[in-house]
Amino acid sequence: MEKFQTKLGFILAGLGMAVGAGNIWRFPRVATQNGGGSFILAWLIFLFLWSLPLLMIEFAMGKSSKKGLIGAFKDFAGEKYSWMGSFVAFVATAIMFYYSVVTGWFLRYFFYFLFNSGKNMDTAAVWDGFINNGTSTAVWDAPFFYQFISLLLTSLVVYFGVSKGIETANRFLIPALFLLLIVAAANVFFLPGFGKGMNFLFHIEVSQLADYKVWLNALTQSAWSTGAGWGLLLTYSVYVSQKEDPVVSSTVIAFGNNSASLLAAVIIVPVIFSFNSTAQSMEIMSKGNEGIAFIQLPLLFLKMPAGRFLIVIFFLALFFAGFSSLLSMLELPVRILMDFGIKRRRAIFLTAGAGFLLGLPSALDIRIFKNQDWVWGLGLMLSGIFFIFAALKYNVKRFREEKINPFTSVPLNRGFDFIVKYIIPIEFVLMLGWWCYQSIVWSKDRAFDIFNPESLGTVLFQWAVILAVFLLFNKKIVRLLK
Amino acid sequence: MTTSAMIFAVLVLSLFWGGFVFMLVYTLKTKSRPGENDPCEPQQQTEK
Repeated sequence: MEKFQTKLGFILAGLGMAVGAGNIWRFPRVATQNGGGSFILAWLIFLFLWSLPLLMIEFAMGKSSKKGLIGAFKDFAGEKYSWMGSFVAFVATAIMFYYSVVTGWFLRYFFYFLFNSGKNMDTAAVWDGFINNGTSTAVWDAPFFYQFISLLLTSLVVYFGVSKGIETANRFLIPALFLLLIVAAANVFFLPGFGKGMNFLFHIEVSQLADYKVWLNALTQSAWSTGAGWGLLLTYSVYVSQKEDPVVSSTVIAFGNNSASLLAAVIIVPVIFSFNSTAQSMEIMSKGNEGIAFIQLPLLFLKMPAGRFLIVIFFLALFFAGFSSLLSMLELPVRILMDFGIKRRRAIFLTAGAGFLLGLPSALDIRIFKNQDWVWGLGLMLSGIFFIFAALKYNVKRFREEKINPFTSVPLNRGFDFIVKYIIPIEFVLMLGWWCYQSIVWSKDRAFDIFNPESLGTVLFQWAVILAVFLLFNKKIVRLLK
Repeated sequence: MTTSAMIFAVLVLSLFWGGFVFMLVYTLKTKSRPGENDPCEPQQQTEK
């Protein structure tokens, strides 16, 4: 079987998997909207109470079973529950469909600012024109063209395999990504409002620590951003040596991921606060990920010395972050198809082809993109609890003693069992319950309308269809495993 | 920037960046533990 050639190569690939668009365009926004320092404190706690245990479980399952998600769930939860692995794989793959569109957006904006000065640019009009043009203008100005290029590049890297493709690409992408972020942060450091932005980001308001929304938002960010529960680390761990340390490796990846988030926040928050009052800054932060990255930040960057240089760096960093995550999202279904006996080349063709066709609706219509992001983003919470179920079914104490501790220089104690058995399931119920409640409040009388893109109804409907298919065909799917 | 925010910023950034760099170096320098064989070959995995 293929293998990562070096420890560093694996760690960099793991970082590439974890650090994505969410670190750069979501974390700074959510942190600022939820009280800055109070949010960061809660986010730090949930790293240990959600993300790290899940990453360790994923790592141990992949390394031990040497199979993709379905095979690993079969080994740990039993054949009867392999459908859980199928569901987790589907969620990550469905995210890959529209994530290729997002990666394409970053690529397009990188090229746009590379060749245009952006002077007197109406960023809102440019974004609206780009996102709503569908197929009406030149093909190279349409989102689906950049989605296609992103998937083509990803397929090319994955085609070369784990060592020559994924490892080699991440050896370049991740150091380059960190370097780009550090260069941007060094420029922002000299802004007059740097201190004001940093103060807002790191000030702890004790009263906000009593606000449950701060905690639930921090938990959600920790759940989405580290890649824990996606099945991506499990997939990469299939290719590591049996002696690889699950505790230290998972911790390096999680800490590196959060370091990248903080670095992004140290760039973005001071830029926004330097050119705006606090009220205006909060108004900007409420405009959502796309509104901040594609409309507000280009305007602000262009007001700075060497602004165009910074904005090119910013979109290149976003592209590298998205692309390195997309690599792992493509490898995940490819690994599963290879477990079914399909050759790598054919598996890539099938998954990338499906990725392009099924991601196309998101590229053509932003409402479909938002619907898919909502449905499968929430699906990740279910994926996370399925991993916990697998560890519990195997027996969490046995899991720790057999699959983790013999291979680590930092053995885990019974605290790990307690977190897996009680803390994470409680977090899951609270987090999912809160999001469901929020969506009912947003949607009012259309909460269970399956055609309302951001309703609870559409989530339940799409989950139910996929779960029913995997439950129905579970035996047949398991029999396909070689 | 207030003193408390500055202290918290230094603590958080040191924790994550310091922890990340320290553990990265640690994991790259650590070889497999002496005398440890590979008790978990793939053929033994499905024994549960």
